[in-house]
Amino acid sequence: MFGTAVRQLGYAWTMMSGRRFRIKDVRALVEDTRATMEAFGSPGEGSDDMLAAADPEIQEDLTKRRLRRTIRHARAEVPYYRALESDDLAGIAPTPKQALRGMSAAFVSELARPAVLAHTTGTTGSPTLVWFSAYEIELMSSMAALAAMLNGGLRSEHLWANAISSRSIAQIVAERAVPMTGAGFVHLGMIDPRATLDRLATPMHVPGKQPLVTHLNVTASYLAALVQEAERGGWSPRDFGLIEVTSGGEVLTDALRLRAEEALGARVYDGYSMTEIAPVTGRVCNDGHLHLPSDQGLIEVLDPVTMEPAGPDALGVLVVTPYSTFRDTTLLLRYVTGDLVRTLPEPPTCALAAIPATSRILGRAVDGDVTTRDVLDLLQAEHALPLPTRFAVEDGILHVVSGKDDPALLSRLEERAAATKLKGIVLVESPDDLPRPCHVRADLIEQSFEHAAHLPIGVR
Amino acid sequence: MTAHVLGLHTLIALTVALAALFLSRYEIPRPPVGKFVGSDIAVMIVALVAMPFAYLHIPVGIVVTIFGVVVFTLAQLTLAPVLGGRTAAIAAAVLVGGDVAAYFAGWEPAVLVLNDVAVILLVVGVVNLWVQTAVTPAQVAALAAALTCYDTLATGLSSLTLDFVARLDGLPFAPVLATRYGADASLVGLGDCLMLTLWPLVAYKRYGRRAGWLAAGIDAALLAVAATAFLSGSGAIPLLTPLGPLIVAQWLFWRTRPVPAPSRPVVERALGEMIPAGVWVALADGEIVGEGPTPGSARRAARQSGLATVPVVRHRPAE
Repeated sequence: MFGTAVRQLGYAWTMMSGRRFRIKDVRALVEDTRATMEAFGSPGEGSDDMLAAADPEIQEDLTKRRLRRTIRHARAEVPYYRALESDDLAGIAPTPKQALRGMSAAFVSELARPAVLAHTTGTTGSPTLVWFSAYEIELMSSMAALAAMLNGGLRSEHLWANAISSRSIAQIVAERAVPMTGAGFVHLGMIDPRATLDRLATPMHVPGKQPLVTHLNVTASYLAALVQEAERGGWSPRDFGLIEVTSGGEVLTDALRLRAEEALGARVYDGYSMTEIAPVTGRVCNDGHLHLPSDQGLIEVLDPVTMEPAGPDALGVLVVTPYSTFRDTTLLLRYVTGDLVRTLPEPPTCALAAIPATSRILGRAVDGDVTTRDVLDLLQAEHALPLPTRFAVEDGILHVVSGKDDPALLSRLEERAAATKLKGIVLVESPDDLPRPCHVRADLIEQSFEHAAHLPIGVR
Repeated sequence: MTAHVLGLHTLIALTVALAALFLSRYEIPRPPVGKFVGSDIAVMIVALVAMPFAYLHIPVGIVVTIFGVVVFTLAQLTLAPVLGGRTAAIAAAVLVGGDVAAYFAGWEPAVLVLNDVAVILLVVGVVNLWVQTAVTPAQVAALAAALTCYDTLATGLSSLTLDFVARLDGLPFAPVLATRYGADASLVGLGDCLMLTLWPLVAYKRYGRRAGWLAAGIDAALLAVAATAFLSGSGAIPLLTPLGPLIVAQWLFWRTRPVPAPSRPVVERALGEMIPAGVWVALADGEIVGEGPTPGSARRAARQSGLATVPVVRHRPAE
């Protein structure tokens, strides 16, 4: 206990000072936490404070120091930011995604020791490449393990399965973090949803673990594909042993969340993460706010057009600066994620009120102010539409893949859409009939030998 | 004299009983992260060995103040789960204040009683803190072995312990459980009390009821022998000198007892079952409860047949 106390002090000191972590100490703290969980089943009193945000005044002071240090590193070490003239944040133009995608090497620090290359999924056409060092990977994995044990309730008897892109930082971190907690990590991959459901229902009976997979990490569109297949294939929630499903990377609607909870028999949590801005992550509280802790990166919500700070209850784009305490390879200042949110009209009063919050991720603007979430809310409330939902908006007309001509369905959708700025709705039979391609992450299906023919994703 | 010695042994038995009762009913607040590990034992040994040497050379007022702070903190920690935090703090303050007041008022019996209450609370609290933060039998055995060496040197072969006890004789917060101070003192040291209480609880928690009762019985037998020797005029007895090896011996005995390997009877039983070839089957209680082309579908068939538990799935290739 003396050693643990010393390591906790060291961890707190590094968080406060903004200097680099000693990986050995962070790993030891993870090991202490795992041993505590295995001995007692839960952390002791005051564990909530270990990863909680500090007092707002202290937090503000820390933010200034971390930001100054990060900007100094970027100016001195990163070619893209070499021409910056001041350390003042306001004087730094936001970094567009295209700049990183176009030349990721220009964002890598001269002092870096690149060790792992992660890719975004590249749903817009080409993936963005982001280099990480061994320090970053180890630190992020250790911190993810701590959060999973202290906040997420992950224990050594659990089995955590990942069904996300194998190239993302979330996969790279999870496959290291989960074993650190003592839980078992199951490499599922984004395989045919029929095979995934079969895996989730397959008893394993290995020592010290629950017989079935207990935790599942997916993207929203792949979750939708699983829901559709579970409903179509006659699966019951009692076939699975799932406790929690974590969805991230895409817009998760309440309609899909509830449908997934019914189909899989597990609580579905909505989260936010992105390879470029790791380790900054967000979680959605019970009141539907997206909380983004400010101790790992500066979070700004800017007007998508003027790039000035968005006012209360306004649409804005998330702009993130990960701190150099956590990132020493690909350094990004004011990175425009492209993900729209709405600022809250008033400060939140929920259980996570101490952590800065916005609305949940709204996706992209698909037509004027109409966002991906607006359209998905409209469509996913309708069970007759195939999952994952595919659509495209052109000239204000919403084109939706329905699999068949269904006048009653169209009428219901038009009735619901009356409150939006959409001019009309057209049902189309297949994704090929959309006026422009609609890519979702569930399209990144991996091949396997289990099924002779691929299951078409998102069609009836 | 016999009455005082018997009274002392009754107090020791009471301490062990209270510690066991506390363990069965209350939880000591523990830190958010951390359990008892080997380095904690090392720190403890260094502190226990260094303290008497240091205290012999520090002004007695400072020693008493340090002990007072320790007694207040640990009494509050022990009483908090029973009385609640605020009441426990008040009770601990009353105990500490009363002890000091009784000393300055010259009420020796009151000092004796309050010191004993403080020592009992301290032992109950510390033992429960250790047991509830998962101290292992091996760690207790290591502590016992180290203290045996120390006690043999400090009590048996030198006058360190006697000098220390004499210096604190009759003072508030003296770290001894006593029924009489002075020339014919009848007392046992805090370290002895801790080890006499700690091992039965750790043995009980780790090895079960029999080990716990055996440890308590060995404690009682040792105390009986020590009392007899003391009453027959052999002087101060370094209790940890025999107690330490007895704890180590018990640990060695229990750790070599065969521990059944964790088994998975459902898996072993399923291996022995005759199953059809070419399909996945779900097995429960020696029976095939579902079949399917995939492991998940066999499990689903088992659920559909009414099975509420999770079966084992197995496949035998077609001939």
